[in-house]
Amino acid sequence: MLVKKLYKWYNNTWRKIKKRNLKKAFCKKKEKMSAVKLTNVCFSYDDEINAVNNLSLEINQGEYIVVLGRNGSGKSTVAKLINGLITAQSGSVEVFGLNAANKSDLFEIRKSVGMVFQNPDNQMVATIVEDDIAFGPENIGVSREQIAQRIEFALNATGTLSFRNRPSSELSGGQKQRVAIAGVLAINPKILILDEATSMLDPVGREEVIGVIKKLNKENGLTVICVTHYMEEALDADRVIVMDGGKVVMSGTPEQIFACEKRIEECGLSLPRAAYIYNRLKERGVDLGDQQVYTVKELADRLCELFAKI
Amino acid sequence: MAKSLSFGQYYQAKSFVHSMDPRVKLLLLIAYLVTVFVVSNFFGFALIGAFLVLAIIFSRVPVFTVLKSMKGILFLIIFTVILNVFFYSGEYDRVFIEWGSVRVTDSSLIFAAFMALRLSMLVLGSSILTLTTTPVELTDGIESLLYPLKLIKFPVHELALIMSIALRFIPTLSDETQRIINAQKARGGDFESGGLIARAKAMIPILIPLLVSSFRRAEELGDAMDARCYSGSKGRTRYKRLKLGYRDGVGFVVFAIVLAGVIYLNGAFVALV
Amino acid sequence: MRIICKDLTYSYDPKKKPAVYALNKVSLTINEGEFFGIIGQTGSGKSTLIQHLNALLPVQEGFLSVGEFDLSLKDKKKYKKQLKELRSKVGMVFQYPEYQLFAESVFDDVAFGLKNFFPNLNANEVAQRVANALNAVGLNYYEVKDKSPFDLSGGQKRRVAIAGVLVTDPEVLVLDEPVAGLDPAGKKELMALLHSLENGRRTIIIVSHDMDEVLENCSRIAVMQQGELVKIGTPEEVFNSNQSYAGLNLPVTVQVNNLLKERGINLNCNFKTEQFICDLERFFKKTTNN
Repeated sequence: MLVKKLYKWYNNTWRKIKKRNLKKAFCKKKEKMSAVKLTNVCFSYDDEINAVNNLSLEINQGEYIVVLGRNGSGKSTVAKLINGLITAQSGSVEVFGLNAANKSDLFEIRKSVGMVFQNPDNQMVATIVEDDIAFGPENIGVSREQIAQRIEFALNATGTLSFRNRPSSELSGGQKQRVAIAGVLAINPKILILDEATSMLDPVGREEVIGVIKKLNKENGLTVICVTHYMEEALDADRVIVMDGGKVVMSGTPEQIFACEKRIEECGLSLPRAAYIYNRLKERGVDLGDQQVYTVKELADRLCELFAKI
Repeated sequence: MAKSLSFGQYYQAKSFVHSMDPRVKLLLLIAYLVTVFVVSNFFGFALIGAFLVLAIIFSRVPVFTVLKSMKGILFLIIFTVILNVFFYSGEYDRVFIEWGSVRVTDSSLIFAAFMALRLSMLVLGSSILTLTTTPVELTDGIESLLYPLKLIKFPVHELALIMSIALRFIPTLSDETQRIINAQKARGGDFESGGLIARAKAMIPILIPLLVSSFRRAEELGDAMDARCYSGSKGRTRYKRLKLGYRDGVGFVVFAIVLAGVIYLNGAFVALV
Repeated sequence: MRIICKDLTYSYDPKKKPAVYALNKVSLTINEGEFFGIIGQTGSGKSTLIQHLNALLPVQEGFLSVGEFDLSLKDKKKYKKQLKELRSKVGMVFQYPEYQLFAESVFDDVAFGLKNFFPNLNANEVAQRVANALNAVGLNYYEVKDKSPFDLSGGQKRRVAIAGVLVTDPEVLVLDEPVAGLDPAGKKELMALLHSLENGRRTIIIVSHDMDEVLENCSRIAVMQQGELVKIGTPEEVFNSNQSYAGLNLPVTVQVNNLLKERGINLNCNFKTEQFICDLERFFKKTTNN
């Protein structure tokens, strides 16, 4: 009896270990690891209209995602769901396999998901830039020496080293947002969410912020989720997600998305101006080539080619 | 716009006083304030005044900036002086003017002068602290000094955080107030004429938007803090450690000498008040 | 009302040496009925300039007149006397105007300015003018008048705020970043709304940092940089000059035009997008037919 039991136990354990190893090996093999996974998520603020309606979405590690949508399309709500600032009423939100509905996992999720908000004035806790950046690492109990290193890293990565000891109230909008990004970077997140972080900035500020974000994605491998309604920002994305009425209505590469002009307009959005001009000219029989144009430079190139032909 | 808020606003500079430990500065300020109130003759005032001047010089804050902090309290000082000059009821040797129960005497003049000196030194001393210490240092200092109260479950950390956030939002909210005032002025709002009640009523179009926006800001700030893993003081580390340096020793010694001098002078000369 | 500005100079801290000027010798004229655009980076002085137009900032140096009102009057009594009438005729919509709403109902909020400027109007007249203002911004008077302004959507709030300025039927309407924070569709709608407020006499001035927006909508443009007026004229004059404006992105059509110019191709197109497309079409069709 006892031997039999022991044998069974031995066998089971062995199988479990084998299985786990296999699983691990499998995960490593899979190049694109899922970072965020939303499954059939519903959320409403006031029990009347669903701000997010039965939404499913998967985001892989290292991806640069741009989420587009008109005001009230639910795009900011999705951002908040991923960070666990709000909890889905149904469906599940998983971040690196951790469920955001579990209160015990929430802290870990927030450690790996950094978030920058719309209004640069409403996310700084401390007056002096350096102290503000220290706030995050202090919260997660990082040692003093480590915090100093992280501040150094975050300031360098966002190009804000020269503001270190200045009060944030003296900075421009774009500079403030870069400091806000630094404050999030100091927590050492794997995912960075920008919730309309450029919408209150002027063109210079917007370029500063987007430049930093692109660099972080490329060089540091940060997963970026950029919620916006500036169409030009979508051009740099690996994948664009268009939301409307709390649902994902389109998803694909910028090229795929911008090919559907009508649907984009139905969602309250508009094409980048260069793409718009290209489409109108094409409709009127001016042949600029079949490949869709997105940027100013591309449009100028095509016009040039056409000139050469004539 | 935010620049008109001199009192409580940090003046950026590198100086002896700037690099002192905020705790030491706080303790010295308290000791200084007590001293200002126990000084009983003009020699003592001269000595403590010299200490104040020394502090201003070593803070490298322009004298004008320091003096500007008096602006808000000037009315109070004048009011106190007038009240004391005319209504001081202590013993006196000589009477200058007598008019019914109102009398100007030698001791009422001296007392009024003392009050004026005390109040101005109080304000100037405090503003030296706030001009040379960032709000963050200040709250760190207060938190550290109040640390023993944690034993009786006093929420020291929370209090310090609230203070630091309040200070951080002063420039933001003052800009916002100016914007709202301008917007309502452009719509014909009149905040300067009329009686007290009319004026109070006229403030509603400013106060309500300000309140609404403050709530919105608070909510957003709350989200931002949550997103940055804030979960109370538990398990929290501190980046900035307050360290005592030689400057703090010097500060203490200088003040001790001043204090000893004041006590000696208090005993050596007849108390005027 | 015609706006004339001569060597207007302003400093927020006049005692400071060396002086930092928010406005430095700005001279410009804005004609009656124009749809005028003022463009510049944050801190270029554009907000300072427009705050002068309804005397929220006093004229420190230089000359400024708005219609019959002389705002550089040194006589304080006379100056103050005209303020109320001036402000009723020069409407000012600030950035994010929805944040200035305060009243319990949309009606009261819109009527606020009207009652301040014209305390003698009777209830009927007030109701009539509030209704007109709300209809003008595309809101249904009966639907929204009793609602709390705080219960409206973001776009509606902004419209109510604009109605609150329109209610006095101003002859000059100044809007600071009117479409900030709106999505593309919202921007288009609001701009169309502003054009619907043109009536030949009313001057509309918008302040922006988006060159495309200003180009598409304005008949004349002023470009500001560090407190100075660096360029003023029609869109063609402003953008044909080969000048680049630091801190501002040129409109897309102008960028395309300039890129082609670099390669020796002169398009001579109108810069407004729709016109630009038509011009290009005509240009290519003509050359191919030849």
